[in-house]
Amino acid sequence: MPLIEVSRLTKVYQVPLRQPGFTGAALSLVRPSYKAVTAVDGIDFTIQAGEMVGYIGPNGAGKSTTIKLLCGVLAPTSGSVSVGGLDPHRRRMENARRIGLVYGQRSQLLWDLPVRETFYLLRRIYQVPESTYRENLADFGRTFEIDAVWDTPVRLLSLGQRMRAELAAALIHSPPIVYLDEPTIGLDVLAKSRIREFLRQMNRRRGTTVILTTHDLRDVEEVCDRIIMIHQGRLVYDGALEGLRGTFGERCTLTLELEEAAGGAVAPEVALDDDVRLIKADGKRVELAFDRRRISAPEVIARACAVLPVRDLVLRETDLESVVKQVYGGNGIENGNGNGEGRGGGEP
Amino acid sequence: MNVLTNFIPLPGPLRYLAYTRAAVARVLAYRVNFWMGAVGTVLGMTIQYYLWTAIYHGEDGALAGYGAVEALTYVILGQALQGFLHPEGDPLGRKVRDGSIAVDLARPADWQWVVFWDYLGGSLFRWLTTGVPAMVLFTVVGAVAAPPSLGAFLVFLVSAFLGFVLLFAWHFLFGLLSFWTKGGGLIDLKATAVSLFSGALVPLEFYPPGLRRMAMALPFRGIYYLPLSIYTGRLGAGEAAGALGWQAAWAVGLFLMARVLWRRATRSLVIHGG
Repeated sequence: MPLIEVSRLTKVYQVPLRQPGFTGAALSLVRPSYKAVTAVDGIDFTIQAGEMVGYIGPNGAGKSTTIKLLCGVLAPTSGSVSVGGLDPHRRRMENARRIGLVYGQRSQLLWDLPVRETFYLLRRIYQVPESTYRENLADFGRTFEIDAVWDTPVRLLSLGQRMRAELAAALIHSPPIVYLDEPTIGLDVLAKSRIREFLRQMNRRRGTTVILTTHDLRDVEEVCDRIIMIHQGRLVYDGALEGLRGTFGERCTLTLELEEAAGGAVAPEVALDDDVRLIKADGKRVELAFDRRRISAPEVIARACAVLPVRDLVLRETDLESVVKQVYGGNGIENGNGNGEGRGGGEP
Repeated sequence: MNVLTNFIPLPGPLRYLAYTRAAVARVLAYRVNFWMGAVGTVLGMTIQYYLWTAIYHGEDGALAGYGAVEALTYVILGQALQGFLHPEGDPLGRKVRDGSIAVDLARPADWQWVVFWDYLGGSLFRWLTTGVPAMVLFTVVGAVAAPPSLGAFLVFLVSAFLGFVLLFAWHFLFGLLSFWTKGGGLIDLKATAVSLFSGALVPLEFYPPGLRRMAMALPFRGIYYLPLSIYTGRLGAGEAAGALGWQAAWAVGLFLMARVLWRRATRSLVIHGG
């Protein structure tokens, strides 16, 4: 039996609609009108205990709403969620004891107080046994650098310090299921890789199930065995990472600005083999995509500079948002059933 | 499913005291605010003293059945209690509006109790550190009368606590309505109803008969009027016991009502911002 079962899950928000202008505002006092916004639209998936799943999609795709439905914070409009045999909304308290949660956009730390006060509170609320509490804190020490900020009020922490404290706070009661909404946002490369390593270890040692939403491709690549992708509230891909490899492969984009527009004509010379692909040559702008594991960035730059009059360049890592866009087009899944790549793909 | 079986046993109600502790720590974290609040309370009590001394100036008799000392005791203690009974701002509605309720709901804690123990922490701490010493000071200099007996004082403490529970219950009920109204207007309505009908400003006997009958019929008088009347000795032992029962009944009733409403509210919860 799977640990998490989501079936035909739908969440519709009633969003108040305001007519423009003063008359509209006055009118909405007397007769408020609402618009139904479907944040999650008939999603199905199951997750086994011990899986590490990347739950991805562009902004506004319904990721956070799904996480809140899984936590029981929100009630589904229709469809059902079952986590370890429980309906997480109806049995919110029981469900809450076995989940750990990091919201990317809001803090669970006590804002005005030193970091230690949050841990004191969580220890009481989750009734964490003394030994587990000590063990976990010691375990977190290196990864989350919690000792260094222990006595610092949360409001004085840097974003990176705060995110590490958030993670430690979410894991202090050794939850078997962990939902992480953008857990590496604002962290430097070293801190990110430490956290990924920690998550992998936790999964190996304790069999913790991890569901992770992220914008960072590396989080997915290095942590998750499986990805579930949603777009406009609907499931568009569910399966192994390799299924999207073709797009994921081209991890870097190099944008070149040329001295003269004519340069664009020779741009294809840079993309001679499979390692470098020409995305766009548009007057003075040339865009190249390449896979960093097959060819290094300096090499690509050197190759480009050898044949093109490069004036300036920007190197950037492909983020998930553009992957989703590349796979499903800018305006999503308009032709409904053309996305049966993974299991349980979009249904009519 | 093995991963799910080794949980911690169901935690006891005392764990909510952690929220009380955090609330006290929060008061202490902003020392300037704390001292400003303390000065404000003492100043308010002093103003009441001069105001009511002026009102009774040249009156040798009683007003609305209150002698000068009893009236002064009532209003000055009322002022001291406001620091205790009055929650700062509208934390509950704010949690709903800014979406931080999502954090509370992801924890294995009953939200009504979380908010209750949180309120109690800040209120009790401010009252013990400001209201009580100020009251002692005003008693020592002879501005107000001491309670008639130790027994009356103890009954007053219980009654004041029930007053707090009542005020909390109203606050929670009205706060829940912001789930539907998505705004804070109702909290202002509640504040007006409380200050008018609870006897926070003047003893209810001072009201014109119609308003007075209304205030006596409504449950708001359990918040200030009853505890203060026990303190001044206006209510004898028997009446005081009745008052406690009345307060307790309303407190439980409102608490349960809030619970039912809360269940419904969670179904229609919308969480703003991510």
